[in-house]
Amino acid sequence: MNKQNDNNQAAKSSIALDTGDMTTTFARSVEDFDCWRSEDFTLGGVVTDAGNSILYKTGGWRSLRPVWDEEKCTNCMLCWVHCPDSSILVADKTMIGIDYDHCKGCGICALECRFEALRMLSESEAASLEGGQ
Amino acid sequence: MAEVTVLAATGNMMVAEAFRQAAPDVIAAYPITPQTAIVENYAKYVAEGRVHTEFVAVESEHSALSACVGASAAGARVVTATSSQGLALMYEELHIAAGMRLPIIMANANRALSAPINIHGDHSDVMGGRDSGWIILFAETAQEAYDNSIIAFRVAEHPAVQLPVMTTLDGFITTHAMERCELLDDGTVEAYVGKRRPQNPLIGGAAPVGHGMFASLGGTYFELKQAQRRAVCGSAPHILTEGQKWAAVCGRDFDFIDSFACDDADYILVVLGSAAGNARVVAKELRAAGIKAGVAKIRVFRPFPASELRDVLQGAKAVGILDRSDSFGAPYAPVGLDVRTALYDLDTRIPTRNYVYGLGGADVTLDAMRQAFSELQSLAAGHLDQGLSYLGTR
Repeated sequence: MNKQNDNNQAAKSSIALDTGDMTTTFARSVEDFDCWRSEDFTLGGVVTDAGNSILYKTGGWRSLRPVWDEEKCTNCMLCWVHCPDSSILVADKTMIGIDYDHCKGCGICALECRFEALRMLSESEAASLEGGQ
Repeated sequence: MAEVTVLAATGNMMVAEAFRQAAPDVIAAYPITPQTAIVENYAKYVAEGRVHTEFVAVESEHSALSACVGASAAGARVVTATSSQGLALMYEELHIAAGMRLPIIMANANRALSAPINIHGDHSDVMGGRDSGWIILFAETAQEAYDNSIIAFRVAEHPAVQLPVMTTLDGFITTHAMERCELLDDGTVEAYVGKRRPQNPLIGGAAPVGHGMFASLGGTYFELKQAQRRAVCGSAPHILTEGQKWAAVCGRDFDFIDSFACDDADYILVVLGSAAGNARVVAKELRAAGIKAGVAKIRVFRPFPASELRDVLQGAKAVGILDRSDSFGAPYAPVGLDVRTALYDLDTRIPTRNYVYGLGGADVTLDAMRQAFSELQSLAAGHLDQGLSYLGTR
């Protein structure tokens, strides 16, 4: 792993164009992204581990959450088709839950569901239910 | 050993030759006076099969630089050329190319901006992009435009730089006037510029990558801009090293500032581009009359060589700063602002006058230079105040 090469140390180093492997990668773990300093980023902010947007948790925007009733669910996949955030979790052609890390509570899944297997619950209500358990 | 061909050529012809010799993979450009001949000549090289370059004919300068951004992100060696309104139309992509840290070499034929419409030479267009994060070189002559354009590849693509470079020449005066020029052989230029080794290219890299990502909430943008400032300022030693390597090949000096008789000078004019010659002629004339005049021509405008300029100017009794554009509403014109800022760090205050000259290609006469040097003497003697004035208007 080469640390990004545009800091002052690099400016002082000897000059050579032919440096072999020019692939730069993140200097530190994506998990502590909030602590990165300007020298920790790749050149121009290029993302070198494709598909890492899954690590960016956007579920905190939600004020309503879909609640899934597994008993009523027929696995018709209408919600999966319509979910704009790919937050309906599926394994072996069967719904297994909802990705609350990325679901923004838009309610499309509950609207599209023909079997009342999804209903929207306010986050505060959900929190008190969870707290009561 | 380099083979040198001596020829009569315009600045545009020499820039086109420099580009051809650097063998870019992609050129995306749109015609605009007085740059057109660069792209026109290059199109001829493509048509004749002398280059492998993909010529992308686009519908505007906005598209031209956008195509260059894409091609450079893909990993290609990329060139373009523009001028005036064309550069203004690229304003958006200037910042994108620099922020994405993409090496792109762009020639600019320095020309006035509308309104009123005017096709002639001044620096208004370039100055609009001076804070965009590009490295900016100014050429005085067709020969210097050739040398700067070749050096630009080494600088832009340097692993520790990775920034776009604008290589500029004054509209008509340098782009169109024919001069005695020296063209080095293709092999020598090829050996000097080498090949681009892209970092994290979109095409042909070890793994898929994402360029031009969203970086807003959480402060990422802030840190990346900090890295960009460090990169532009940090490019200075590499510009000097690469420029001097080329100087060793071609036998013509390279430095941030071309100083003429500044060592013991009392009165120094600071100038960019083609007007330096007139300033030097008058400085020689004054030297012959016993007046210690000097001329400091800034060749690398971004990053601004503040400390080098201080070294050149520190012994002067008065400094005149020539500006071929204005920054309306600012205390001084663009070069004036930068030079005065540089001088602020000296212990001794050197009085300055800022002269706006030659806008819209207005004649820059020897008399105008004489007037400027004469005013510097009055300034140093306390008979004239600091400030800004237009030099040579009716």
